[in-house]
Amino acid sequence: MVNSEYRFFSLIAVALFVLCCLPMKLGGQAAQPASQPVSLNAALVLTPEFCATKTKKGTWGINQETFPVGKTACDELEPIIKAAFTSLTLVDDPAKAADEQLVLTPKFVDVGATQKTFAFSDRELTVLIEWTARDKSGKTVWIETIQGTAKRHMGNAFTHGSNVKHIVEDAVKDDGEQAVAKIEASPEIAKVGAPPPKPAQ
Amino acid sequence: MLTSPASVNAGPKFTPYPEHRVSDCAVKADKGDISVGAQPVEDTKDQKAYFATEMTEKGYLPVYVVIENRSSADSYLFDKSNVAMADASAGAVSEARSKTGEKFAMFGVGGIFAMRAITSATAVQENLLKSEIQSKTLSPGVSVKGFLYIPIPKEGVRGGIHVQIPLVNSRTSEIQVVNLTI
Repeated sequence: MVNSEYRFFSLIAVALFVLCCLPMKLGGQAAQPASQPVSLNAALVLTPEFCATKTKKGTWGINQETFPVGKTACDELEPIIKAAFTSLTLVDDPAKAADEQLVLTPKFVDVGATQKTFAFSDRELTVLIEWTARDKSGKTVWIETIQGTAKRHMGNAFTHGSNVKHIVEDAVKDDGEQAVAKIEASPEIAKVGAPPPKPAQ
Repeated sequence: MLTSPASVNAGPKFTPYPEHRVSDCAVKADKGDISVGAQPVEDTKDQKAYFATEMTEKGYLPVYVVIENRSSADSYLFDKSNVAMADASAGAVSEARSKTGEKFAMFGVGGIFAMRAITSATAVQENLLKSEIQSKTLSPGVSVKGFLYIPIPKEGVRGGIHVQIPLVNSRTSEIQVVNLTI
Protein backbone atom coordinates (compact mmCIF):
# COMPACT_ATOMS: atom_id res chain seq x y z
CA MET A 1 0.00 0.00 0.00
CA VAL A 2 2.73 2.39 1.06
CA ASN A 3 4.70 1.33 -1.97
CA SER A 4 1.83 2.07 -4.41
CA GLU A 5 1.24 5.48 -2.78
CA TYR A 6 4.92 6.24 -3.16
CA ARG A 7 4.74 5.29 -6.86
CA PHE A 8 1.62 7.42 -7.35
CA PHE A 9 3.18 10.52 -5.79
CA SER A 10 6.41 9.91 -7.69
CA LEU A 11 4.47 9.84 -10.97
CA ILE A 12 2.65 13.05 -10.02
CA ALA A 13 5.99 14.72 -9.21
CA VAL A 14 7.51 13.64 -12.54
CA ALA A 15 4.40 14.83 -14.43
CA LEU A 16 4.49 18.21 -12.66
CA PHE A 17 8.19 18.59 -13.49
CA VAL A 18 7.57 17.81 -17.17
CA LEU A 19 4.59 20.18 -17.36
CA CYS A 20 6.23 23.06 -15.48
CA CYS A 21 9.93 22.98 -16.20
CA LEU A 22 10.27 21.56 -19.70
CA PRO A 23 8.27 24.34 -21.43
CA MET A 24 10.29 26.90 -19.43
CA LYS A 25 13.50 25.34 -20.65
CA LEU A 26 12.28 25.20 -24.23
CA GLY A 27 10.93 28.73 -23.92
CA GLY A 28 14.29 29.83 -22.53
CA GLN A 29 16.06 28.41 -25.56
CA ALA A 30 13.61 30.05 -27.94
CA ALA A 31 13.93 33.37 -26.15
CA GLN A 32 17.65 33.64 -26.93
CA PRO A 33 18.02 36.44 -29.47
CA ALA A 34 19.36 35.33 -32.82
CA SER A 35 22.49 37.22 -33.76
CA GLN A 36 21.92 39.93 -36.34
CA PRO A 37 24.25 40.62 -39.26
CA VAL A 38 25.77 44.09 -39.32
CA SER A 39 24.11 46.32 -41.95
CA LEU A 40 27.23 46.82 -44.01
CA ASN A 41 28.55 45.87 -47.42
CA ALA A 42 31.89 44.36 -46.54
CA ALA A 43 34.82 42.78 -48.34
CA LEU A 44 36.89 39.89 -47.06
CA VAL A 45 40.51 40.10 -48.22
CA LEU A 46 42.15 36.71 -48.66
CA THR A 47 45.49 37.41 -50.33
CA PRO A 48 47.46 34.70 -52.18
CA GLU A 49 50.16 35.01 -49.47
CA PHE A 50 47.59 34.41 -46.73
CA CYS A 51 46.15 31.40 -48.60
CA ALA A 52 49.63 29.92 -49.09
CA THR A 53 50.53 30.04 -45.38
CA LYS A 54 51.82 26.74 -44.02
CA THR A 55 53.17 26.25 -40.52
CA LYS A 56 55.70 23.63 -39.57
CA LYS A 57 55.89 22.31 -36.02
CA GLY A 58 58.26 19.84 -34.39
CA THR A 59 61.82 18.89 -35.27
CA TRP A 60 62.84 18.17 -38.86
CA GLY A 61 63.53 14.48 -39.47
CA ILE A 62 61.97 13.45 -36.15
CA ASN A 63 58.42 14.66 -35.65
CA GLN A 64 57.95 17.62 -37.96
CA GLU A 65 54.40 18.26 -39.16
CA THR A 66 53.05 20.75 -41.67
CA PHE A 67 49.71 22.47 -41.07
CA PRO A 68 48.19 23.99 -44.25
CA VAL A 69 46.34 26.74 -42.37
CA GLY A 70 46.23 29.19 -45.29
CA LYS A 71 44.56 26.87 -47.80
CA THR A 72 42.06 25.70 -45.19
CA ALA A 73 41.26 29.26 -44.13
CA CYS A 74 40.69 30.32 -47.74
CA ASP A 75 38.34 27.34 -48.26
CA GLU A 76 36.41 27.73 -45.01
CA LEU A 77 36.30 31.36 -43.87
CA GLU A 78 34.15 33.10 -46.51
CA PRO A 79 30.91 31.15 -45.90
CA ILE A 80 31.31 31.64 -42.15
CA ILE A 81 32.13 35.39 -42.25
CA LYS A 82 29.23 35.96 -44.71
CA ALA A 83 26.82 35.59 -41.77
CA ALA A 84 28.24 38.72 -40.10
CA PHE A 85 27.25 41.24 -42.82
CA THR A 86 24.32 42.02 -45.10
CA SER A 87 26.67 41.39 -48.02
CA LEU A 88 30.21 40.11 -48.30
CA THR A 89 32.49 40.27 -51.35
CA LEU A 90 35.59 38.12 -51.56
CA VAL A 91 38.72 39.82 -52.94
CA ASP A 92 42.39 38.85 -53.14
CA ASP A 93 43.69 42.43 -52.90
CA PRO A 94 42.48 45.27 -50.64
CA ALA A 95 42.66 47.64 -53.66
CA LYS A 96 39.77 45.69 -55.22
CA ALA A 97 37.51 46.50 -52.28
CA ALA A 98 37.36 50.28 -52.74
CA ASP A 99 33.54 50.32 -53.07
CA GLU A 100 32.85 48.44 -49.86
CA GLN A 101 31.93 50.15 -46.58
CA LEU A 102 34.19 47.86 -44.57
CA VAL A 103 37.28 45.86 -45.52
CA LEU A 104 38.08 42.89 -43.30
CA THR A 105 41.60 41.41 -43.48
CA PRO A 106 42.74 38.32 -41.57
CA LYS A 107 46.41 37.72 -40.82
CA PHE A 108 47.97 34.65 -39.20
CA VAL A 109 49.73 35.48 -35.94
CA ASP A 110 50.93 31.94 -35.21
CA VAL A 111 49.87 28.35 -34.84
CA GLY A 112 50.45 26.19 -31.78
CA ALA A 113 50.17 22.42 -31.90
CA THR A 114 50.81 19.93 -29.17
CA GLN A 115 52.14 16.49 -30.09
CA LYS A 116 51.32 13.21 -28.41
CA THR A 117 53.08 9.86 -28.43
CA PHE A 118 50.04 7.65 -28.85
CA ALA A 119 47.68 7.54 -31.84
CA PHE A 120 44.50 7.76 -29.74
CA SER A 121 45.71 10.60 -27.54
CA ASP A 122 43.95 13.90 -28.14
CA ARG A 123 46.18 16.76 -29.21
CA GLU A 124 45.26 20.43 -29.49
CA LEU A 125 45.74 22.89 -32.30
CA THR A 126 45.52 26.65 -31.76
CA VAL A 127 45.31 29.03 -34.71
CA LEU A 128 45.70 32.72 -33.91
CA ILE A 129 44.30 35.08 -36.52
CA GLU A 130 44.47 38.86 -36.23
CA TRP A 131 41.40 40.44 -37.87
CA THR A 132 41.60 44.05 -38.96
CA ALA A 133 38.60 46.08 -40.18
CA ARG A 134 39.11 49.29 -42.13
CA ASP A 135 36.47 51.77 -43.24
CA LYS A 136 36.12 53.22 -46.74
CA SER A 137 38.78 55.86 -46.05
CA GLY A 138 41.27 53.15 -45.06
CA LYS A 139 41.19 54.00 -41.38
CA THR A 140 41.50 51.03 -39.02
CA VAL A 141 38.32 50.91 -36.94
CA TRP A 142 38.66 47.51 -35.28
CA ILE A 143 41.35 44.95 -34.57
CA GLU A 144 40.93 41.65 -32.78
CA THR A 145 43.10 38.57 -32.32
CA ILE A 146 41.12 35.38 -32.10
CA GLN A 147 42.29 31.95 -30.90
CA GLY A 148 40.63 29.16 -32.84
CA THR A 149 41.17 25.80 -31.17
CA ALA A 150 40.40 22.17 -31.94
CA LYS A 151 41.17 18.79 -30.44
CA ARG A 152 41.56 15.50 -32.30
CA HIS A 153 43.46 12.23 -32.05
CA MET A 154 47.10 12.37 -33.05
CA GLY A 155 46.49 9.45 -35.42
CA ASN A 156 48.69 6.61 -36.60
CA ALA A 157 50.69 6.23 -39.81
CA PHE A 158 47.47 5.70 -41.80
CA THR A 159 45.17 8.28 -40.18
CA HIS A 160 47.62 11.07 -39.27
CA GLY A 161 47.22 12.99 -42.55
CA SER A 162 43.44 12.95 -42.37
CA ASN A 163 43.50 13.95 -38.70
CA VAL A 164 45.79 16.92 -39.45
CA LYS A 165 43.41 18.05 -42.23
CA HIS A 166 40.39 17.85 -39.94
CA ILE A 167 41.99 19.48 -36.90
CA VAL A 168 43.08 22.45 -39.05
CA GLU A 169 39.54 22.72 -40.49
CA ASP A 170 37.98 22.64 -37.02
CA ALA A 171 40.38 25.24 -35.58
CA VAL A 172 39.91 27.61 -38.55
CA LYS A 173 36.11 27.24 -38.40
CA ASP A 174 36.19 27.93 -34.64
CA ASP A 175 38.24 31.07 -35.30
CA GLY A 176 35.82 32.25 -38.02
CA GLU A 177 32.74 31.61 -35.87
CA GLN A 178 34.24 33.55 -32.96
CA ALA A 179 35.13 36.35 -35.40
CA VAL A 180 31.48 36.58 -36.51
CA ALA A 181 30.32 36.87 -32.89
CA LYS A 182 32.91 39.59 -32.16
CA ILE A 183 32.04 41.52 -35.34
CA GLU A 184 28.33 41.46 -34.53
CA ALA A 185 29.03 42.65 -30.97
CA SER A 186 31.49 45.38 -31.92
CA PRO A 187 30.26 48.97 -31.32
CA GLU A 188 33.16 50.22 -33.47
CA ILE A 189 31.98 48.26 -36.54
CA ALA A 190 28.33 49.17 -35.89
CA LYS A 191 29.32 52.85 -36.01
CA VAL A 192 30.72 52.45 -39.56
CA GLY A 193 27.24 51.64 -40.86
CA ALA A 194 25.43 54.18 -38.69
CA PRO A 195 24.26 57.48 -40.27
CA PRO A 196 26.46 60.47 -39.32
CA PRO A 197 25.22 62.43 -36.31
CA LYS A 198 23.01 65.43 -37.16
CA PRO A 199 24.77 68.78 -36.66
CA ALA A 200 23.60 70.74 -33.62
CA GLN A 201 20.93 73.35 -34.52
CA MET B 1 59.76 0.73 -12.19
CA LEU B 2 56.98 0.59 -14.73
CA THR B 3 55.49 3.77 -16.06
CA SER B 4 51.92 3.80 -17.28
CA PRO B 5 51.25 5.00 -20.87
CA ALA B 6 49.10 7.81 -19.48
CA SER B 7 51.98 9.24 -17.48
CA VAL B 8 54.38 8.90 -20.42
CA ASN B 9 51.92 10.81 -22.56
CA ALA B 10 51.13 13.47 -19.95
CA GLY B 11 52.36 16.90 -20.96
CA PRO B 12 53.82 19.59 -18.73
CA LYS B 13 51.52 21.21 -16.17
CA PHE B 14 51.00 24.97 -16.28
CA THR B 15 49.81 26.92 -13.26
CA PRO B 16 47.44 29.63 -14.50
CA TYR B 17 48.91 33.10 -13.93
CA PRO B 18 46.61 35.04 -11.56
CA GLU B 19 44.72 37.84 -13.28
CA HIS B 20 45.92 41.29 -12.28
CA ARG B 21 44.33 44.71 -12.53
CA VAL B 22 46.56 47.72 -13.22
CA SER B 23 46.42 48.62 -9.53
CA ASP B 24 47.87 45.18 -8.62
CA CYS B 25 50.97 45.59 -10.82
CA ALA B 26 54.43 46.64 -9.66
CA VAL B 27 54.84 49.12 -12.53
CA LYS B 28 52.00 51.43 -13.58
CA ALA B 29 51.50 54.35 -15.93
CA ASP B 30 48.55 56.43 -17.16
CA LYS B 31 48.07 58.52 -20.27
CA GLY B 32 44.70 60.12 -20.88
CA ASP B 33 42.04 57.41 -20.81
CA ILE B 34 44.59 54.62 -20.84
CA SER B 35 46.06 52.91 -17.81
CA VAL B 36 48.80 50.28 -18.12
CA GLY B 37 50.27 47.94 -15.53
CA ALA B 38 53.25 45.61 -15.87
CA GLN B 39 54.43 42.80 -13.63
CA PRO B 40 57.72 41.09 -14.56
CA VAL B 41 57.97 37.41 -13.60
CA GLU B 42 61.63 37.40 -12.50
CA ASP B 43 61.67 34.35 -10.21
CA THR B 44 62.72 31.25 -12.13
CA LYS B 45 60.52 29.09 -9.87
CA ASP B 46 57.50 31.15 -10.94
CA GLN B 47 58.60 30.88 -14.58
CA LYS B 48 58.78 27.10 -14.18
CA ALA B 49 55.28 27.03 -12.66
CA TYR B 50 53.57 29.28 -15.21
CA PHE B 51 55.51 28.31 -18.36
CA ALA B 52 57.13 24.93 -17.49
CA THR B 53 60.51 26.38 -18.45
CA GLU B 54 63.06 28.74 -16.96
CA MET B 55 62.97 31.63 -19.38
CA THR B 56 65.66 33.88 -17.91
CA GLU B 57 68.41 31.37 -18.71
CA LYS B 58 67.12 31.28 -22.32
CA GLY B 59 67.43 35.08 -22.51
CA TYR B 60 63.80 36.14 -22.09
CA LEU B 61 61.85 37.88 -19.34
CA PRO B 62 58.09 37.26 -19.23
CA VAL B 63 56.29 40.50 -18.34
CA TYR B 64 52.55 40.40 -17.60
CA VAL B 65 50.90 43.49 -19.06
CA VAL B 66 47.36 44.76 -18.53
CA ILE B 67 45.97 47.72 -20.49
CA GLU B 68 42.69 49.29 -19.38
CA ASN B 69 40.58 51.74 -21.33
CA ARG B 70 38.95 53.97 -18.72
CA SER B 71 37.04 56.09 -21.24
CA SER B 72 33.25 55.97 -21.14
CA ALA B 73 32.93 56.87 -24.82
CA ASP B 74 36.07 56.26 -26.86
CA SER B 75 37.60 53.03 -28.16
CA TYR B 76 41.33 52.46 -28.53
CA LEU B 77 43.21 50.12 -30.86
CA PHE B 78 46.05 48.14 -29.32
CA ASP B 79 48.32 46.78 -32.05
CA LYS B 80 50.90 44.46 -30.49
CA SER B 81 53.27 44.92 -33.42
CA ASN B 82 53.71 48.57 -32.42
CA VAL B 83 54.95 47.80 -28.91
CA ALA B 84 58.61 48.73 -28.67
CA MET B 85 61.36 48.53 -26.09
CA ALA B 86 64.88 49.67 -25.36
CA ASP B 87 67.54 49.42 -22.70
CA ALA B 88 66.58 52.15 -20.25
CA SER B 89 70.24 53.07 -19.66
CA ALA B 90 71.04 53.40 -23.38
CA GLY B 91 71.38 56.76 -25.03
CA ALA B 92 69.98 57.62 -28.43
CA VAL B 93 69.17 54.57 -30.51
CA SER B 94 68.15 54.21 -34.10
CA GLU B 95 64.78 55.66 -35.01
CA ALA B 96 61.92 53.62 -36.38
CA ARG B 97 58.40 54.48 -37.43
CA SER B 98 55.38 52.44 -36.42
CA LYS B 99 52.40 51.51 -38.60
CA THR B 100 50.41 54.29 -36.98
CA GLY B 101 53.03 56.88 -37.90
CA GLU B 102 54.42 57.38 -34.41
CA LYS B 103 58.20 57.60 -34.23
CA PHE B 104 59.89 55.03 -32.03
CA ALA B 105 63.56 54.85 -31.12
CA MET B 106 63.24 51.21 -30.16
CA PHE B 107 62.87 47.66 -31.34
CA GLY B 108 60.00 45.21 -31.15
CA VAL B 109 59.47 42.65 -28.43
CA GLY B 110 59.95 38.92 -28.88
CA GLY B 111 56.88 36.87 -29.72
CA ILE B 112 56.93 33.99 -32.17
CA PHE B 113 60.72 33.97 -32.34
CA ALA B 114 60.94 34.00 -28.56
CA MET B 115 58.85 30.85 -28.36
CA ARG B 116 61.12 28.99 -30.78
CA ALA B 117 64.21 30.16 -28.87
CA ILE B 118 62.82 29.32 -25.43
CA THR B 119 61.84 25.73 -26.09
CA SER B 120 61.27 23.05 -28.70
CA ALA B 121 58.55 21.38 -26.60
CA THR B 122 55.29 21.88 -28.47
CA ALA B 123 53.07 22.03 -25.37
CA VAL B 124 55.30 24.70 -23.80
CA GLN B 125 55.34 26.67 -27.06
CA GLU B 126 51.56 26.49 -27.29
CA ASN B 127 51.17 27.73 -23.71
CA LEU B 128 53.53 30.65 -24.43
CA LEU B 129 51.46 31.47 -27.51
CA LYS B 130 48.16 31.37 -25.64
CA SER B 131 49.54 33.47 -22.76
CA GLU B 132 50.94 36.22 -24.98
CA ILE B 133 49.18 39.58 -25.13
CA GLN B 134 47.50 40.07 -28.51
CA SER B 135 46.17 42.95 -30.60
CA LYS B 136 42.67 44.04 -29.61
CA THR B 137 40.14 46.84 -29.79
CA LEU B 138 39.57 48.27 -26.33
CA SER B 139 35.96 49.41 -26.28
CA PRO B 140 34.99 51.73 -23.38
CA GLY B 141 35.77 49.99 -20.09
CA VAL B 142 37.49 47.03 -21.77
CA SER B 143 40.98 45.76 -20.96
CA VAL B 144 43.52 43.44 -22.56
CA LYS B 145 46.03 41.35 -20.68
CA GLY B 146 48.79 38.88 -21.40
CA PHE B 147 52.55 38.43 -21.53
CA LEU B 148 55.30 40.14 -23.45
CA TYR B 149 58.48 38.09 -23.80
CA ILE B 150 61.31 40.59 -23.58
CA PRO B 151 64.86 39.66 -24.63
CA ILE B 152 67.39 40.12 -21.78
CA PRO B 153 71.02 39.10 -21.25
CA LYS B 154 71.28 35.41 -20.29
CA GLU B 155 73.76 36.13 -17.51
CA GLY B 156 74.38 38.93 -15.05
CA VAL B 157 72.02 41.51 -13.62
CA ARG B 158 69.68 43.00 -16.16
CA GLY B 159 69.32 46.74 -16.49
CA GLY B 160 66.06 48.67 -16.69
CA ILE B 161 63.94 48.07 -19.77
CA HIS B 162 61.93 50.89 -21.28
CA VAL B 163 58.66 49.70 -22.89
CA GLN B 164 56.57 51.94 -25.12
CA ILE B 165 52.93 51.02 -25.76
CA PRO B 166 51.06 53.12 -28.32
CA LEU B 167 47.25 53.05 -28.57
CA VAL B 168 45.19 54.72 -31.28
CA ASN B 169 41.86 56.41 -30.58
CA SER B 170 39.57 54.77 -33.16
CA ARG B 171 37.43 57.92 -33.52
CA THR B 172 40.05 60.67 -33.71
CA SER B 173 43.12 58.59 -34.77
CA GLU B 174 45.01 60.38 -32.00
CA ILE B 175 47.83 58.26 -30.55
CA GLN B 176 48.35 57.84 -26.82
CA VAL B 177 51.82 56.52 -26.01
CA VAL B 178 52.28 54.97 -22.59
CA ASN B 179 55.86 54.56 -21.33
CA LEU B 180 56.93 52.11 -18.66
CA THR B 181 60.32 51.27 -17.17
CA ILE B 182 60.59 47.71 -15.90
